Amino acid sequence: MEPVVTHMVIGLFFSFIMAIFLVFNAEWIWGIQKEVVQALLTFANVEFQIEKLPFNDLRNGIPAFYKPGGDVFNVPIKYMSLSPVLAILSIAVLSLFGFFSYRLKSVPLPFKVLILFLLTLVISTILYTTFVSPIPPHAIGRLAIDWQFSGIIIWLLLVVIFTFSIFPVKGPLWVKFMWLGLALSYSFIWNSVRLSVVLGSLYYLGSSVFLLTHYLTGIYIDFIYIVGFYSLALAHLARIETSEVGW
Amino acid sequence: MLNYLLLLLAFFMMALLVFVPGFIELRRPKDPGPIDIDMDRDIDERYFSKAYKKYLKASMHKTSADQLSTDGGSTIISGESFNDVVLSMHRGPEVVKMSDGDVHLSSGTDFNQPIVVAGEMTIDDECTLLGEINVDKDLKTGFDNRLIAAHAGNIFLGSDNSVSGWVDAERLLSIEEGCEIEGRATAGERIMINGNGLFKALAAPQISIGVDEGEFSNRLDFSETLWSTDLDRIIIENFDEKPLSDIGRMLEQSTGKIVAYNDVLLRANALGLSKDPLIALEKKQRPSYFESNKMWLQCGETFRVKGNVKIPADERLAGNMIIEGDLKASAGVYFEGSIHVGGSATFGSGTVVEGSLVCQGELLIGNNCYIEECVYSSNDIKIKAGTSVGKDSLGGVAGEKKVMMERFTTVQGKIYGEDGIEIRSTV
Amino acid sequence: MVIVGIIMAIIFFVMSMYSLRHYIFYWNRLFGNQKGSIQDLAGYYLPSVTVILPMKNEEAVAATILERLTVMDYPKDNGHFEVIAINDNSTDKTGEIINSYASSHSYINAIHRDKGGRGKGDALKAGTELAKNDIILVFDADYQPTKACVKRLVAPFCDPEIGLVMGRVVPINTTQSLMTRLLDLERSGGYQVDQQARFNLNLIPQYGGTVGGIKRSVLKRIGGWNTIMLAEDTDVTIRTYLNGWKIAYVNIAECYEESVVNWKERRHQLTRWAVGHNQCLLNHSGAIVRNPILTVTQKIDGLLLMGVYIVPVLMLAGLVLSIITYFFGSYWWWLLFSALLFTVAYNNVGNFAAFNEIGISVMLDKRGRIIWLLPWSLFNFFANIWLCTGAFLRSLVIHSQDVTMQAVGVEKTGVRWAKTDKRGHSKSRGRRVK
Repeated sequence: MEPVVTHMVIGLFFSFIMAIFLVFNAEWIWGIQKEVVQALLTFANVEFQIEKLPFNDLRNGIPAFYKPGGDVFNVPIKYMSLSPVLAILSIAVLSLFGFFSYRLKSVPLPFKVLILFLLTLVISTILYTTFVSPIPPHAIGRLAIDWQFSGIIIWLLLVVIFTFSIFPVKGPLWVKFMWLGLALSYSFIWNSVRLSVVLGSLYYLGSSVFLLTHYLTGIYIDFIYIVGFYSLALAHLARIETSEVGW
Repeated sequence: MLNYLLLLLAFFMMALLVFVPGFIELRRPKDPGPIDIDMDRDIDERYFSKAYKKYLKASMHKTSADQLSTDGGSTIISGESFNDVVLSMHRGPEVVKMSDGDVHLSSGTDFNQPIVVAGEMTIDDECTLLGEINVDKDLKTGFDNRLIAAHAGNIFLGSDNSVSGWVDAERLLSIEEGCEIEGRATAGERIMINGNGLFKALAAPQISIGVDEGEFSNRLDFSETLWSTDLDRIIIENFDEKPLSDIGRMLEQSTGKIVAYNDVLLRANALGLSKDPLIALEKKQRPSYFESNKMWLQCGETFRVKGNVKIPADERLAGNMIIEGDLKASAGVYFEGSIHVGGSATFGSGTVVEGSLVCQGELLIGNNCYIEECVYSSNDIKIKAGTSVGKDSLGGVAGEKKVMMERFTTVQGKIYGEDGIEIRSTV
Repeated sequence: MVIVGIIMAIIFFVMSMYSLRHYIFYWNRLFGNQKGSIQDLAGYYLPSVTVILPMKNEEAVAATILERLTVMDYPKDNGHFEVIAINDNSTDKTGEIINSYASSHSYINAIHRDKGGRGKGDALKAGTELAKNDIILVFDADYQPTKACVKRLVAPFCDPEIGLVMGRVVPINTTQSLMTRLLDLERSGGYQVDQQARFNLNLIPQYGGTVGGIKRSVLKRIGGWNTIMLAEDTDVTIRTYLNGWKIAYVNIAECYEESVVNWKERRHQLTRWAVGHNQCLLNHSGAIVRNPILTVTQKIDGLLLMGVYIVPVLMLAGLVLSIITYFFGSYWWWLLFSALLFTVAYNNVGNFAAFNEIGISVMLDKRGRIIWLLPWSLFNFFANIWLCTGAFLRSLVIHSQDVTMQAVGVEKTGVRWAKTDKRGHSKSRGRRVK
């Protein structure tokens, strides 16, 4: 199979353009997304405030240097914790549930593992909030959500992934750009909905879902749809390449 | 709260949406596999011509007897009469020209349909035939013809013929000077190339370049060391103390003939003097020309040498050799096993290899060498005049780049060059 | 927290190495020079061959493999090609089937074992002792080699550096379940891209225990089949390389196999492989590092090969530590580590092959819509974490038992035959043979 080097070079060039675009327009993009998130939060009847902080550029997207910046969503959060007795009872019930889920033959193994993982998150949250502190282990300021959690940076990652995984594969350039465009669009919608869900969950369910939201809706979960779009793009290219197989 | 739950549901739906295409493929598989493998496909260099013949035969069976007879319409080409028969071939239905007798096409004939001849076929000069030719008896061509593909009992290609596809003879394929065959050139018995030419792949039990018809002489001429209790005792008593060269001399005195230095080592291993599968050889266990190299004995049969190596003339080496660097073997070196060279390799004239020769770099085999099994290189291969490769119709030369051969070389089996085979006056 | 940070950094480093390795293989397959493993000379180098078929309760498939070997295009006269079919204490009709083929074909020998160790390793050992020819090929009973398979597998042995060969395994029962379809993808990526790239790059392609072979002289000298290890194939791979030999991967030597069909079978299979690989890692990692012949990249690849089933364990350890970091560490540390952890984890989706390896293999195999199933391999990912962690703990227990037994001078015993039941599938698009 001949790799298409020229397409990859075009992809690299596009990545560079995208990086420049994001660096200079992150605030504007976040502005659009902010409107969408606002609308979704209003729909979900979530109380929120938008605080205007000085905007930080792309470098401050790196976790080591994180500082909230730009238009920031602030959401009031209830700090929830159970009484020790209730906590132990809950943990016992959850553990039993976990045990029986594991033993049930009708539950496929991957789902057993997922259930155990979720239960670990819930149980550790209960333990922490009951016996350590009802306040999650990070400062109030970290509950603000700003553009750096918006998925803008993931766009760059998407372009880079497509550049090195899809663009070198034989096939028309328009197909590759089409799927990249679809993936970026899906990413925008996904991130808007995800942000709204996180804010809504924190508002309605309080500090008890902190850990869960971080693990179940963190930015790395984007890989689910990245792999999905990758497979669709590749299947389309394969269809063009070998039109008699599987269609 | 309800609206929030709807939002949450929307998020989960978006996550699950990614799995929908896979679900569709599971429910309505369009590519269920398994990967299609032709279980009965064999390795046959003559595959294309045999497949073509198979299609022809099958099509002719299907075609009515009337159509195959003279009543089916005819064409005159170059004064010869052919029956037009529509056969259902692998490309679809096509008109094939068929003749029951001998055919002679005069110079300058241009034709682009397949031809099937029951007798002999002669093509003069400067013809262009762009359909497959299938001849039951002999096919002879003049000079400067252009063909697509040809099969016959014996084929005699004149000079400067070019074939863009395959050429296959049931018995003998003879090729004159200046021919170019882009596909496979194969024969059931022998290929004779009588001048320079360009090819892609040649396969036959015997391939001779520039020699007359005749028997290939077996160039192997050696006598194995016949180990005995007395000889074994010499090794056992002296192995730990004396260098191999001294033990070799003691054995020479006993047997009256040269014993390869590493043959001593192999025998020592066979006697169980060292059971390790990998033994680092000390200086005294190596000949002088390996002194600056690191060397090991692997599994009692193969020597591994790190670095570049130069072997002086008329040396004899037992066992297989793996040389990690470049190899330069002077004239008359005798290798009693196979060789693997990690770099480039040059073999002087009269080299004998009683096994295969595999090289990662460029390979140059000098005049009058003999390689008993196969020659393979990841780079260019150059073979000088008088060299022969292979034995008992098995063996071959294959290169991932170009194979260049001088005349008066012979190969039993196959010659293949990814970037082509060039027969030249000198490499 | 510093200790947690250090451990997280090590986990991330190791997982990044695997991710990088996948990308290197992917790139090599896409852009690099593809080695043909001397296949241009296949059929022109024909050493003497012994095929060993270890079988235990394989009545559903025994006749198929034996039939395939009778039509195998290889010179069979004068003992040049022999088949040693081993009935390893079967309780079904395997013995009768083997006997019937042995009685009608002089080159097929039927061996019935009812004594000695019970395991594939022991069966192979028994077969090897009877083998007379230069090359030993091994096929599992459920495999269906092509007519030219043996010719293709033996061709690389003309290179004196090659001690082992490995062909390509292709699942035949792909339509049976979601599991078989996912394994079809996984095998495709693992062989078409992973193995081929390792061969191209002069690293360590793996001998998989079937559809492959070894020089009899090499096998004898390196100590034969290891009957203690669960993964005797990986063990032979490593011992071969440690003693200066190489493996040739022959992508074109294709052979159908039956994949496992459900999670229960997958659990047994994966546990066996994981424990076996971990045993190899514990036994051979020091020797690999110290070996004077292997290059640095080969040493690294060898360690990564043996440690491949440790990756899901590291993933789990990383997850647990990230939760601890979340509660007790600083936020940005947690964010960095968990993001990196998941990122490299997704690059290792599936058992052996990253998603881009699988993708390219689908293109190379000229497949199509099967790639839509790629996101579903996420489920394999979760299951692997669980199974490999269990296997890791089990291998630690086995290793400590072995060390104790060695210390007190007690001989190690082999493991029981752990095999997957075969159902017998024909080539007709994976339909079951009645």
